[in-house]
Amino acid sequence: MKWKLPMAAERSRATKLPRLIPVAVAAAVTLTFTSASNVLADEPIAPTTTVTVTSSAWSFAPNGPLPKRPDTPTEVAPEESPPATPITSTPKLAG
Amino acid sequence: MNRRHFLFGASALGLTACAKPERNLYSKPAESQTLLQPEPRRPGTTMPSSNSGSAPTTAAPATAAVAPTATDGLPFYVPEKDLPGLSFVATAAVPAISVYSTDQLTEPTFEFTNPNTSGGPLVFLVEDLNDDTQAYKVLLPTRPNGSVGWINSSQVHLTRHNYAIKVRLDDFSLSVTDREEMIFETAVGVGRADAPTPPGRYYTAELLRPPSSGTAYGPYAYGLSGYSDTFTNFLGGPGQLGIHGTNNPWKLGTNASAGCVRLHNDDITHLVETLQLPLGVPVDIV
Repeated sequence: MKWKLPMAAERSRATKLPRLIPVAVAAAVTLTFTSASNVLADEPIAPTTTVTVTSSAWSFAPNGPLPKRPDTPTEVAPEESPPATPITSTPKLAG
Repeated sequence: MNRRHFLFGASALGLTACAKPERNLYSKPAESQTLLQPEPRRPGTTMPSSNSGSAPTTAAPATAAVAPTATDGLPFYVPEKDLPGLSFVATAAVPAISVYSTDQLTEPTFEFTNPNTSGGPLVFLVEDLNDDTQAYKVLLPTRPNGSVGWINSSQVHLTRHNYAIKVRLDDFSLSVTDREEMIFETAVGVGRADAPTPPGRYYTAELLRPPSSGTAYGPYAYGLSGYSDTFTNFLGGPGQLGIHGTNNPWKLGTNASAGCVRLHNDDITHLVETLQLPLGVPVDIV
């Protein structure tokens, strides 16, 4: 059966995922392009594109509580030390 | 407080904790530690390029470590069942490990080569860390016994275990704990009166298998991070302490060795092949 992307509202009901409602969107992007004529020259190629994002804001209204952040620390503990591997060698210990 | 400390030293106190359960798990284990100082190298002072047992440039009493009262001082999530007797081991991941006198890692005082002189991996027992600077305070396999220093965490691979070994010189016994539960105990031979086994806190730094099991070392020998106070040269070595088998089992339970801890060959084999102890197991000799 071919999977079909459901509509947003349908998806929210179907999956019980939080429904996100964009409240305000404001974005403006300024793109500055410089000449790429030096591409064939024997010199380092300078960056040719500058992208400046001047404004971007999204606001979401979730239909449920935000998930609780896990307790710290969250870093996984180091793995267990492996058994020591013997090195065949004549000891020079203070026997 | 951004800087978080924890102390694993008490992991070696497994037996002590069994005998005295009221003792704080993270209490400071040893008063004999020495901390390397950031003094410039003196003319004529050689810096050890490996764990050859040479003396570090300078040593001074260790600063007191902060002992957290709860396990949340750990920067890792560790299952509750794995907290008793917890130790961390730093295994070198680069050909040379620089050692610093402070956790700021500004000027190395000397370095250890990896692998070590026996050809095995260079390991350190971690005693403390500063997760702001990503530095580990480690027990060093060099003279003087109990020396500590700071290493860069990016140069090592960190693992953990819950084993500890305790050697009691007065009753010639060795015991092994796992999660502070005793899992093995046996009789040992220790240093003679003229070459006593020096008490202190060490760790298993290497595991050797002699080419012949009929020698004085038996089938296996753990090289410890500590050294004899009597011998600076022994059979071509630097007087390194060890836990090993023996070809004189009738001298177990006596002061018979040159400083090492001797076990029956069956017992050292049990530690290696049955218990499969890792390197970096704390060894408290009392």
